Amino acid sequence: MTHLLDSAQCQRLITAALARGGDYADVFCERTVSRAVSYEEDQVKSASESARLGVGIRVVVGERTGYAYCEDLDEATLLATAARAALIAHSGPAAGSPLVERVGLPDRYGHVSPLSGVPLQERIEFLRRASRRASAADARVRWVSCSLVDNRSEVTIATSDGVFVSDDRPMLRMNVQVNAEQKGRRERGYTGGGGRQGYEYFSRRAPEALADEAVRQALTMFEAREAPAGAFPVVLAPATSGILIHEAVGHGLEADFNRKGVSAYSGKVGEQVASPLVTVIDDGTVLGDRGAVNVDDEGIVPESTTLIENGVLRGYLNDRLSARVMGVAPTGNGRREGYSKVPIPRMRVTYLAAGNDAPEDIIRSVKKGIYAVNFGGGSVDISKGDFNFHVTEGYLIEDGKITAPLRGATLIGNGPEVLRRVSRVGHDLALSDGMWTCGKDGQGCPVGQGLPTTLVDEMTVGGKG
Amino acid sequence: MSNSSHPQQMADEALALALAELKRAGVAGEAGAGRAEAWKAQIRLGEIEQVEGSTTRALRVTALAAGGRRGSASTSELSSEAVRACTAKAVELASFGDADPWVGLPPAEECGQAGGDLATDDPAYAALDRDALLQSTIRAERIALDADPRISNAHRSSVRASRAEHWYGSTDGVRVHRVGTVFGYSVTVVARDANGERQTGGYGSHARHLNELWSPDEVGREAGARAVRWYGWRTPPNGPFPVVFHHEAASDLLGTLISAISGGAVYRGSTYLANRLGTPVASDLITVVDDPLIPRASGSRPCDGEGVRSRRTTLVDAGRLNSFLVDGYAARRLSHPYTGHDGGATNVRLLPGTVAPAELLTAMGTGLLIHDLHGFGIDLVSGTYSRGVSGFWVENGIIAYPVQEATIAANLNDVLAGIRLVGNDPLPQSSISSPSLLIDGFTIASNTGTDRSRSA
Repeated sequence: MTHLLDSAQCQRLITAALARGGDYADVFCERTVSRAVSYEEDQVKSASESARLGVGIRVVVGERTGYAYCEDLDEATLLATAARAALIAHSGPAAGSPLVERVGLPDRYGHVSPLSGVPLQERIEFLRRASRRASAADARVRWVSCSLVDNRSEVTIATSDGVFVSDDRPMLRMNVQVNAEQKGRRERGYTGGGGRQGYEYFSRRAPEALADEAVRQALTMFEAREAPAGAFPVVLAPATSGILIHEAVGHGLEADFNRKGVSAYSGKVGEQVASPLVTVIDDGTVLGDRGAVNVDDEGIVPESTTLIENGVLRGYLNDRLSARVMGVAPTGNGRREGYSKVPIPRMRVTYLAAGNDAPEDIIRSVKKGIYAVNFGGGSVDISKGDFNFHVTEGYLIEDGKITAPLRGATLIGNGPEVLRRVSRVGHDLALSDGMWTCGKDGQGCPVGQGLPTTLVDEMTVGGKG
Repeated sequence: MSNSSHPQQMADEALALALAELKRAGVAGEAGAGRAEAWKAQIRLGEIEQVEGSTTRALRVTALAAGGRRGSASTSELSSEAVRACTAKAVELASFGDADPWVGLPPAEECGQAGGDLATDDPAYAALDRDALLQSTIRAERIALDADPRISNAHRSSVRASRAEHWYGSTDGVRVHRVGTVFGYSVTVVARDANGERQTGGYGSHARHLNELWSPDEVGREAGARAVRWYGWRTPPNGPFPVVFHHEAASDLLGTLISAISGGAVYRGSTYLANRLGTPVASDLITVVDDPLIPRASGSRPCDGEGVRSRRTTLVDAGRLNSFLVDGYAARRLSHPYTGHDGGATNVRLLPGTVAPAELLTAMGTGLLIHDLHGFGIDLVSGTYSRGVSGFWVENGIIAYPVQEATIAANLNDVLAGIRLVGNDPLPQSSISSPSLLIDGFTIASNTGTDRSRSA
């Protein structure tokens, strides 16, 4: 692994960062090259490439953080940046530990060959295949937008407790959107996939499969009736429905909210916070997933973290700062959008562990309810715990059978209440294909999520039928 | 913690070099270069929690090869070598594009900077007293914490000041420059009642000019009031009811309309309004104007992102859709007049009506007064609109109780047509802003019968 800055230089920067004292300091250097192609109307609409390079330097004193970054890597600019971060501290110099290179990181990125080995002409071909497939699928398809983005992010991290480590992170993302029209009515279908992996992705899920899925969603909506209005049982389909866990509990367990005591889950470690059927895991080790992490952005190698075990809250998602304040070990959840942002506790791949029920039995147990399959975004009010997500593909369940598709609707609930109302959990855990970006404090972060078929006894469905 | 000087090439010099390189390569094209300084701090419980300072820069180059093939590249490194490499990459990528007759540069007569001083660059930035801004934020947080005995914790308060400068040029000889300052601060506090239920209240102010920020007392009082306003909440009855969108919620709805008339969505057919230019799309009480030329306003700019001169545009005129918001590509593709919207809307105003907010409630009778909208339940293609809401249940024009954990749903087409009255209340401090609106046609849903007023 090559380092963007050498260890002697990082050591000097940490010394400069701690010149006015501090409990901790770190240096984060990042070079990202991002390549994108958009393809519409069976044409390449634009091809672009962007490159950014910068260094962020942080000093932590108690719960206070000083942060500065720069985009020049000459020594004078770097030292000036360290000096700006150091202004947060007001005592005598502190000493950092000697840096020791961390070698032998786990490899959780599923790329066999580097992204840069795939030339533009080949990338265009993946788009062409998806676009032509979607356009030819049905006469009602009026517009197909496809995009393919890959980026390679190289990072070098040095910390005042002696960690010196580099990581080389690939990310692949393909999107397909289809607009269809029937008798003046318009509908859309949208899907995406990818992860921290290379173009081998398409040998597992062909561009045509993405196109088929987007077309299927759009055409299904022509048959949709209005979603009902009011409280109903909701069966969540496997994989993408992991958005429930992300919003209803994941954010509320991020340690920054809990060390401040502002989350609905604050102060509840050891308590029963969910149905005994609920075990929630946040896992940085899922090979090739969008949320896979070899090393977090504070130099910690993450493992799998059990947040809730059989309904009992076991712990929070920690970054270094929160872990130190709360007196626990960091969990490797310190992540950042890039060198211009400070690391904060973020989810990785968050999922509800499999239960014992057969999915068909779960659906059969519902007299009248909703079967939720695909989703737009969601959000949560951390303090009260109210969350929402937008179901873009859902069906009515009538007398134990999935019947009519429903128009899109927002579903709402209170996180702790909904977790107590989880009454059946299937044995069919699946993870969503890589298309989710979590937003927090103005930072986007790639995450994964998953869920087995799950019955929530009651949620509010924001329909009008 | 800003104003550091970097030894790199200046952004405007990088721009000039990129344009020269495009010409040398024999292609048309455009380039934009920016430089921004930002200072941010976070406050919690009277203490400084985090301070950040930065200076950033970037160059973006777009090459337009024969037949309308487009390639672009960007870089945060502005050395001569990096600029040349970035330009060469854009030229190379353009060779892979397909011919598109609508790709090109805006005609020169559409380009330039609108006259008049938009006053987007506050001279007070140069002599900014950061400590005074920090103290204002701390004071606002203190006032919010003192607003109610149930408020004892804070999530985060933040303050920022920034200045961004942007240069644009094309191989047609267009050169424009714009600069803007932004100041802002906000406070978020957390309340907890006897049942242990936490509620958040946040409020803030931002402006291009430092002296237009609302006072710490105003911001703090409002943040505190918002933290406790939902206590005793209940769920409303289910069914069709009239609703009043309070002005912040109404501004959110207006933002949805703006997305639905944006040129890119129109030519893709990604909006239910794609074929509706010149036809009624809203109640005849509705007139919406985008005006980039309001001095000191947050969205004001002399030109858009491709150098098209800024102009006032009436988007909706007495309910009739009068104009889309188009960038150059969409303008050419839709045979639509240039509006200068590369980079999006500027200052969008739904023109106020004549009805006082209290009279909106009287006219509504029994229904929901909506303050907050939650979630992403908007599908512009079909017009499906379904949101989580917080607000107040109103009976016979009088506020009866707070409401949380409820939803509203309707089709956007019916929502805009169903606007029955437009308020005359002051517009919120956002670049897209609307007065309060009384709207018919929504269905309200909740888990009816939930009542937190009885368990305290």
